[in-house]
Amino acid sequence: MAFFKRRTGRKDDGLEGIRVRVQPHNRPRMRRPGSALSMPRMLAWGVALATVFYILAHYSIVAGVWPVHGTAPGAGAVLMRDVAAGVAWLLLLPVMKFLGYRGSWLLVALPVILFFVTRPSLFQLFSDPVYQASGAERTEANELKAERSQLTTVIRAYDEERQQIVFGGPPPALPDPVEAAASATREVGWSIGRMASYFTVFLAPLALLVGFLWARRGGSLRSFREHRVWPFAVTLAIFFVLALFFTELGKVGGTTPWELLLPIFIMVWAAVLADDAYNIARPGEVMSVRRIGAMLVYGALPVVPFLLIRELGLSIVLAGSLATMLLVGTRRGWWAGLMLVVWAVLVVVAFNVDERSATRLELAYDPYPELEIGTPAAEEWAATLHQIKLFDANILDGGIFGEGAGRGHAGTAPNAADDGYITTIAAQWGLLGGLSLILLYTAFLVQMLVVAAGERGAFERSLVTGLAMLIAIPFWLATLGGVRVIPLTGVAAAFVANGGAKLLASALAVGIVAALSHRRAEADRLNAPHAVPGARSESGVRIR
Amino acid sequence: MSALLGWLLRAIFVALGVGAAIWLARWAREAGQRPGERWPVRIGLGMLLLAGAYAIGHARLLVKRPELEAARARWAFYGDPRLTEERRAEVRGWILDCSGDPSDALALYRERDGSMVRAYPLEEGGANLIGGGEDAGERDFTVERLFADRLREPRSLAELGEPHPAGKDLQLTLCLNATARAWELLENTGHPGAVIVQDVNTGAVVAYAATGGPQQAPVGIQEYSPPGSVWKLALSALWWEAGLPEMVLTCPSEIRLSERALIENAGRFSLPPVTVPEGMLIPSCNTTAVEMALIMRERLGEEAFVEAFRRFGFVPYTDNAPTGFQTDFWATSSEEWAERMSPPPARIRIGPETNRAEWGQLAIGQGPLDVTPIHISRFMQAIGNDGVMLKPTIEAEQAAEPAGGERIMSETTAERLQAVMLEIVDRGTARSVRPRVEDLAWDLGGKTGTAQVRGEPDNGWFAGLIFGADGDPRYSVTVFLEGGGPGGRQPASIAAELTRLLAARTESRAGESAE
Repeated sequence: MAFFKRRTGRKDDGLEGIRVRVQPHNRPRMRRPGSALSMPRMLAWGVALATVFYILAHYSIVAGVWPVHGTAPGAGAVLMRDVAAGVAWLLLLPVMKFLGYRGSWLLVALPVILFFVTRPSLFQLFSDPVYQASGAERTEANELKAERSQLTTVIRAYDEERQQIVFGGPPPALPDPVEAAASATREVGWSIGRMASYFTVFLAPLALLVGFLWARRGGSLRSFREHRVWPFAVTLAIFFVLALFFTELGKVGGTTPWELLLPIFIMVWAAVLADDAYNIARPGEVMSVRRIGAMLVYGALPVVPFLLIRELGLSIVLAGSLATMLLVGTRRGWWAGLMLVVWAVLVVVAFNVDERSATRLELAYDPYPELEIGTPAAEEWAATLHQIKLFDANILDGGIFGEGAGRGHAGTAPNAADDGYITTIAAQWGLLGGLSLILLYTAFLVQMLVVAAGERGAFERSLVTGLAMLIAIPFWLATLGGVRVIPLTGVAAAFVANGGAKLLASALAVGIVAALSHRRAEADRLNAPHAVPGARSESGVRIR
Repeated sequence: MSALLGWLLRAIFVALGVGAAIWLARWAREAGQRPGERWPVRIGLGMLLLAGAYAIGHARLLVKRPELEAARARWAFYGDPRLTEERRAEVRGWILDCSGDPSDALALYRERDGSMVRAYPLEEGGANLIGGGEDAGERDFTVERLFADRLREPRSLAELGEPHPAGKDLQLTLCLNATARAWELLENTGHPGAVIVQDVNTGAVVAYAATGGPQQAPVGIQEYSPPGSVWKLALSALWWEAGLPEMVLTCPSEIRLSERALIENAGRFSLPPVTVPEGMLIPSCNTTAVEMALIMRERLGEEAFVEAFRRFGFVPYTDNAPTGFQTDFWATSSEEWAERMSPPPARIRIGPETNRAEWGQLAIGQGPLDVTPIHISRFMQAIGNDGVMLKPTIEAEQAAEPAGGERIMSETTAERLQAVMLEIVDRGTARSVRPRVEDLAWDLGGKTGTAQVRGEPDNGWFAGLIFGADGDPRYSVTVFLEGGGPGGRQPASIAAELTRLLAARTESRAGESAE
């Protein structure tokens, strides 16, 4: 447990100018050269365990599930992609060390762990012949999967005598798992959307690095803050164009590119708050036309396109993030109270005015009404109920311990990899697995907020909080929606659920937060007083 | 290997979660003491509350499992791909017959055109108890349905880690060939009805065949009928149990009990005076039975009847007929079976208010008397087991260690009844089937019954015992044919054929084990 007590990012090499040769083995562990750059040992163990999990869970699916269920076309490519993604995420850690990262390692390692423990479940869905099929093909795939499952189970579990009774002769040979994996790789058509969804998994670590490298130097953020109008205007324009002209059923070519725009809105809003935090914190000063106008433009206008495309979930994510930043940037509780009132009013209005929202509310709290089966009303409700009924089934099937890697029937639920990701985890890893994931994710979010709490500048503090909320809100919406604590909103959680643009945007955001954490650690290191033993810290000698 | 790997992965997942929990606990403890901004810390603490909300929400769904499962089942009417995938892909355990030999399984898998299909060798003959047959999906009075959870249980620990664990077998006491033959014989009569064979020493149901559609309650277990002259066995048992002496009574062709109540012998036969009870049972003389019942009422009182019939497993009542189901009827490990397959109470309205006419009716198994074939079968099992009644069972595990039965009559009474039943087949109402068992080392005894139902053809009964070569009763056999009377013909004939089959089967097995 030493890891939990240890503070990273400190390096004390003694007073400059006085060279003392100390044999390395005599130095305290934390003072050995390069030790502050290393990941804490317990965290490294965590990453190692998650890596083992990632590899073994994939193996368990390929060797245990694929031969039984068969695979969807392109399953082999999905496997190769996951191998590449695993390598890419693991490489991130030594690269960060190479770059001299001194910030919180939890920030960088926990996304890797989260990705590693959840990806196998999604991998099973992406290679499942039924989950990947659509329309009429789905029924056929279901039949074939069932037939194959029965056949392989009989061949595996029955002794010779029984097989003789079943087959009336020699049984057919069991398909070889490796061959099955190889034969599953088929040529599939490539579109931009498909390529994007394929590559984001291993591009995400790169995005994190890009975010880190960009924000590591104070000049980049400072420049962005000073010239925020242009990036804001361009981003908003792109967003409106996408929303008005290219969106079909809430997506653009099967993707949600606006996820990538959200960190920009967050950064702009952080800049706006930081520049005027003093006045925004005072109720009397807020009430000026210029200030209210700025708040509406930078804080409310970015939400409008989401409302235009009826993307209620993401509008909550962005509005919630911006509101939280307002609270943290101004440090005024009354903003929290005000935001809560506005939020409550909006929720009441949404659930009373918007039929879709009202239906989702009912689905969360009373999904199985006592309607007479066979009536038109029941038939209509059955169509609405379909997804939530199968999400419930996932959770019930998983029980406490779950069915195991790739086991169970999570893939029968529509959007089991997106909206219902937590029910897929629950089906395969049970209540304990679900709780473990939630704790890991909570630790990750809390660590981001710890970084925010440690920031002294309003801009950095608001920015880190906003980026943390950009990841936290969809996570909680998706997770609590899956277990029907709140209505489903249709947003995806970063790192643990399917969603290419969300993953890239979140990785970028984590990279920026890591950069700020690194900068703070560097500043603390440089500012750290070198005191004589036993002296109070404020009486130390500052070495510049 | 697969199961081990599964548990290793679970352990890693949970270990990571525990690590995170420890870190969070430390952070929460120290959060208030660290310097820095308060609002992010407060939001972080809010995240912990949300994690708690998740835990409660997830656990709540698991706690509400029965309710949610029931609701899902209800809404599955509109399709449930999960259930379809689970059911179509599952490999249940086999339902084995009394031998435990997989080649004689009652439900198994067979490959047909590259697909696995659940096969039921008994076909329609087993549709009412095992499963399969036409409209199999609609039948819910079947072992396949009621023992579904058991058949889906993974057959070993290793199976737990498999995507589709092969289910555990269930061995029944039913024998494939005996049940198949019983069904064949029943079907050939063209009458609705049931045939039940029980092992008298264990209560195990060795053969069960019954007609009936998917919407119909199982005929052999839940359909009421008056037992007709089979009831005379109960009357005679009471006679002997009460210690009444042998008596010579007349057997006229009819006996008038009141102005409107006249009881006749079948075909209005009459006999010279007979010594009761044997003399009444062998020719099944109705008028003598009525006279016996009246004498017993006078000498023993109504309460003795009530007490004796209750002991024999029937439910006497006076005003309101008992309803519901006897959920403790079977020796079973399955609550679903007990709930769904229990018979209604076999009931008899009898008491001080019972008038003379009704009393006479009751003596010959008519009037306010409702029994099911399985009740009669259980009564016969007790006679065959020297007076000790055991709970019937279809599960081999239960039959292997039968719970202590209940003595319902003395050994002497049971032996007397056994002896007289042999006489009935030798020279009584079932003598027509004597030639069919004459060449066997085994023997058949039994009582015939022909129950009158107003406006319908007579129901035929045969309730008997199959005796082994050593002269001891081995099986009870109960045949009920709706509209298939008289009992001495088709019902007795079915019993004789089953005697032949069981004798041949046992001897052939004895031969095999000797080799």
